[in-house]
Parts: sequence; structure tokens; C-alpha cells
Amino acid sequence: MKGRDLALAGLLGAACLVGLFFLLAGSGSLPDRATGSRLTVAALEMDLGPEGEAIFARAVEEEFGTWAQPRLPSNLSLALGVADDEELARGRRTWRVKCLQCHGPTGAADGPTARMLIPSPRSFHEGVLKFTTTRAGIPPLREDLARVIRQGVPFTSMASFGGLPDSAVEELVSLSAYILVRGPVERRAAEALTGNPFGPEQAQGRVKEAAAHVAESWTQAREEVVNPLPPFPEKTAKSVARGRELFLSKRVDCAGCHGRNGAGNGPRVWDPESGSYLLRDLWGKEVRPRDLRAGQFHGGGRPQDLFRRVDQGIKGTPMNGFHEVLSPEEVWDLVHFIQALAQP
Amino acid sequence: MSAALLPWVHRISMVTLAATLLLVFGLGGAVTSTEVGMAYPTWPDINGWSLFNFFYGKIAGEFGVGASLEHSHRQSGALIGLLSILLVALCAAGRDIPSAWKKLAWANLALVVVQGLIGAFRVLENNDELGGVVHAVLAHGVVVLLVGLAIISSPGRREAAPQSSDAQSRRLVFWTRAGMVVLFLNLVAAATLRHKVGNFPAHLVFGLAAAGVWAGCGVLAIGLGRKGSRLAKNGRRALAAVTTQVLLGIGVWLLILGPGREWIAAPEARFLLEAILATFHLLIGALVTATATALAIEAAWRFREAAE
Repeated sequence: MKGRDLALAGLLGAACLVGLFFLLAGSGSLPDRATGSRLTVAALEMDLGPEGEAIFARAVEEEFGTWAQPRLPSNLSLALGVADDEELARGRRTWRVKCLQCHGPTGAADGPTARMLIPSPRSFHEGVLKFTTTRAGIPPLREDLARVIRQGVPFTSMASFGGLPDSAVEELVSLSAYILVRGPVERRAAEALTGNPFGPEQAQGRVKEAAAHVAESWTQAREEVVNPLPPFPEKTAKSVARGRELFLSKRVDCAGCHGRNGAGNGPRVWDPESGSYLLRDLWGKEVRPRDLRAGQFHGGGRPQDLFRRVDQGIKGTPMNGFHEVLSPEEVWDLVHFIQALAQP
Repeated sequence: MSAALLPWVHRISMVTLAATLLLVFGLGGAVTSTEVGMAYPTWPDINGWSLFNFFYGKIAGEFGVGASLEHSHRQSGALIGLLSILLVALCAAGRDIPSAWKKLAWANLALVVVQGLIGAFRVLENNDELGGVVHAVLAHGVVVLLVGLAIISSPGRREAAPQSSDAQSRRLVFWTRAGMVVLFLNLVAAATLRHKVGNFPAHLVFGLAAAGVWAGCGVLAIGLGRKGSRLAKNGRRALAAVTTQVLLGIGVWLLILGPGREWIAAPEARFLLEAILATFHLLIGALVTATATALAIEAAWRFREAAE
């Protein structure tokens, strides 16, 4: 090799060393594809006006920090089981790698992949998680969030993140809980401020009040768990038959949505004239009732999961719970019938 | 029988290479660009539906467009697997087929199977970091093996005679070898960036280094080869692929990391443009690997004495 080649080879070697240095340095230039609003969708739906919105956003940031640097008031930290703000920061870093592409940078389900998936990813801004162990209208437990993160939502694009270390799952749970409470806090505070002129102090006062209210509801959630304990009643031909009767009855009218044979094609589902689905969820997305024959249950297919779905419904969706209508024995009969549909 | 199989090995390896570049890289690139690798987290079925289901519209209606895209990528991988089995069968059937062909065909099949398993690991374990990066880099390994098989089994190659080496040819052999090393280092940097565990400076440094080396090799090969010779043709192809790739790289940087982020306000349009550019960047990257491999093999073959 001539001198010129040796020099070029030396230059290439030096470039490779620099490249290796950067390569080993790891992640450092992840783009946030969208910055998102300073507020949640829940607050933006309120009519605070441009000036009021700016004051309100500052008040919220005083208590909750920004999306990039989240923090929680101490009462909410305690209620949500969040160790400290550093835990939220670590959760945010994992969120950007694992969750952002679907759930978006602020949890508004506006990530780049969201539009390509059915069902759409969940927006956390309304403070509602679909599949929980708690009663209708009650916030989820940390365990509910951890279960969804670890196990995913079966038969959807929400994969299992069970491979993450326990500490990373807990950090993600904390960040998810942070996003879940911001919506309800902002909505409650903004509702209280709407219609009257307000300044920074009033805004901050309302945000603190709303935070205290939401903290209370999360603290009490543990008392509101629907926990059908084993031994579960045995599935018999009689219990399946009773479940079928209930399924078709006017009292419960499961067939109205799920169809008489459980195929998810009941008369209340589809409008043949417009050629569209009629049911919508809290997030405005079309809802297709489960084809119960397929045995694919998003909230889990264990007996206790099905019991909770029938008893308490699926939060944020037209699937109501029948706790007020059915006795626990009748709920079990329906569960047995649904199991029989899936395993003919 | 054996002699009749010789041209078929070349033809099938060319078809497999074309399918790998257009289908696997095109669709795989689109899957990563739109981040729908986990559109359905089951493997090899789609939530109970068969891999050999061709109702893309129905899949899109049931699970979203992303699921349809991911499904077609998996199907294209299965197609490459079938073609690779065919290549091995062809090589095994002919007694006079050189052992180097057989080795390459077997190595390619093994790598394709490994790729399928890594794809499964990436989905089932939801491991986008290690699984995604290794899957992306090894895909270029398949390209290298297929280009190798296509070149050594080509009729022109079988008849080509080695040429005497001189200082210039020794330079070309050295730099194509160095270029392959830098190319794969750059692929690792690019894959880690795409799968969110790397950073842009690493890809920038390795990318510029690889582009510089291969552009130089292309110019050198054009100068060394007679007009219309395979060496000159390979040099021109490598140069064209590298130039296109650098231009696309600048475009991708502008839109995704650079000032172009602010140019398109509509998120839908921006997402689409980003995805198209990034996918083409990946596709041309595979073409760079293919043309670079072809040039490296051509140079090593032509100037065997220089390489020894």
C-alpha cells in the first residue's frame, strides 16, 4: 500500500472509532414526533378562551409539571403509589421507546401507528381504563395497569411487555397513572372555572381541589374491587341453559348487540342503510361487539374476567354491566353460556 | 440433468434476490417506517388466522392496515424461505454443481430460517431493540449470500479468466474489503437508530465513511475496467446506488431530524412522507449492499493474485 492509501485507511479507522464511540453511547436523539398540547383533551374540550386556557395551563403545570418533566402533587403521589418524580421521569423515558408510537407523546392515542390499528390504542386523557378489577365508574388499581402492561390486551395490537424488568413496569404504571389522573383533574377544575373570569390564584385553587378529589377516588378504589373468589360454580348443562335464556331475554338483551347466536351482529349494532356500525365508545371510535363464538376476549378469558365484564361492563364502552339487574348466580350462568359459545 | 440445472441455480438465485430486495426489504421497511411491527402480537398466525391467508382487505378491516402490512411482510419472508429451499434442492440435485454453490445455498437457507426465528422472537417477546436490530442487519447478510450465489453461478462468471494484478487492482481489492466492514458497521448504526436504541451521530459517521469508501471503489473500478466490462458496470452500479442513498439520507434527515420537521404541518401528510422516504432509504440501502457485494466479489475474482 502506498502512503496515500495508508493515510486514507488511517482516516477510515479513526472515523470507525468515532462511530463506535457514538454507537456504544446508545440512544440520544429520539425525536418526539409531536409535542402535543400542554393540556389534556379533557381540558381542551372546555371553553376557557385563549387567555383563560393559558392561565389554566400554567396552573396545571405548577402542580403536574410538563409532559416532558412530569411531577405530581404529594396527595396524588400517595394515592397513585408513585415513589417520586424521578420515577415518573424514568417511566417517561420507557414510554417514549415502548408506548409513544401508538399512545402518542402525551397519551392521547395520537402516535404515528394509531391510525393503522383496529381497535385504536387507548387515549388516557379521559382517565378511563377499559379492563379493570374495580367497579364501573371507579379508577383502576396499579395492579390493573401492571397487568395490561405485562400481559397486553389479547387479540389486539397491545402486546405484552412482560419482558421488561419489574422496575420498568412499575415506572410505566406510575407514568400511566399520572396521565390517567391529569384528564379528570383538568376537566373537574376547568368545569369549575368555566363561565366566570378567573386569575392564576383561582385556577391553581381549583386544580388543587380537583387533584384532592381525584386522589380520594384513587385511594378508595381498593375498596371497590369486584372479586369473585374461587371456588367458582361448576358449569353444567343446566347453568348453560339458564345463561342462554338470560342472553336472549329482554331483561338483559345481550342478543341486541351480540346477536342471537353470539356472532356480534345484533340489530343494535349495524345500520344497513348507512352501511356503518352504530355503537361508539367514550373516545368516539366505532365499537364492534365481540363475536363470542371466537372465544377472543380482550379483557381476558378467565372465568373471573368474564364475570367482571358481565357484572360491571367494559368502561367507556356501550357494554354495560348488569350488577343491578342480575344476581351473582345469574351472572355465572351467563358466563357459562358465553364459555359454551366459545367451546361448542 | 446436472448440466441443465446449472443455469437454473443462477436464475432462481436472481429471482430470490429480486424478491428479497423488493418484497422483504420494501415491505419490511414499510413495517418499520410505520411502526406496525406489533400490529398483531401473535406468530405465525394472526390472532388465529393462517399465515397463508391472502384476504388483505379483510385483515385490514378486522385488525387495521398495519396488520395487513405486517402480514404481507411475513408472507414475503415465507416466500423467500420456499425459494431458498428450492435453491438448495437444485444444488443438491446436480452432481457437477461446484461445492461453493452448495455451501452458499445452504448458508442462505440457514440464514433465512434464522431470520424467521428472530422475527418470531421479536414479535413474541416484543423485543424491538435486540430482535429488531439483529433482524435488520442479518437481512443484509441474506442479500450478500444471494448476490454471491447469483454471481458465481452466472454464465459470464464461469467463463471469466482471472487477470494480472497491479497496484491499482490491489487497491481496489483492499478497499472493497474495508468497505464491506464499514458497510456492516453502518448497518448496525442505522438499525439501532431505526429501532430507537442508537443515535444519529453514529449512523452519520459510519454512513459517510461507507459512502466515501464505496464511491471511491466505484470510481476506481470504472477506471480499471474496460468499457462495458463487468468490473466497470459493477463500479457504476455501486456509485449510482451510493449517490442515491446519500441523497435519500439527506432527505430523511431533513424531514425527521432536521429543520424539515416544521415544513409540513398536516400530521397525516408528514407521517406518510416520512414513511415513504425512510422506506426508500432502507430499500436503496439493501441495493447498496447488493451492488457493493457484487463489486467486491468481482474485484476479488478478477484480481485473484492480488487477493492472495
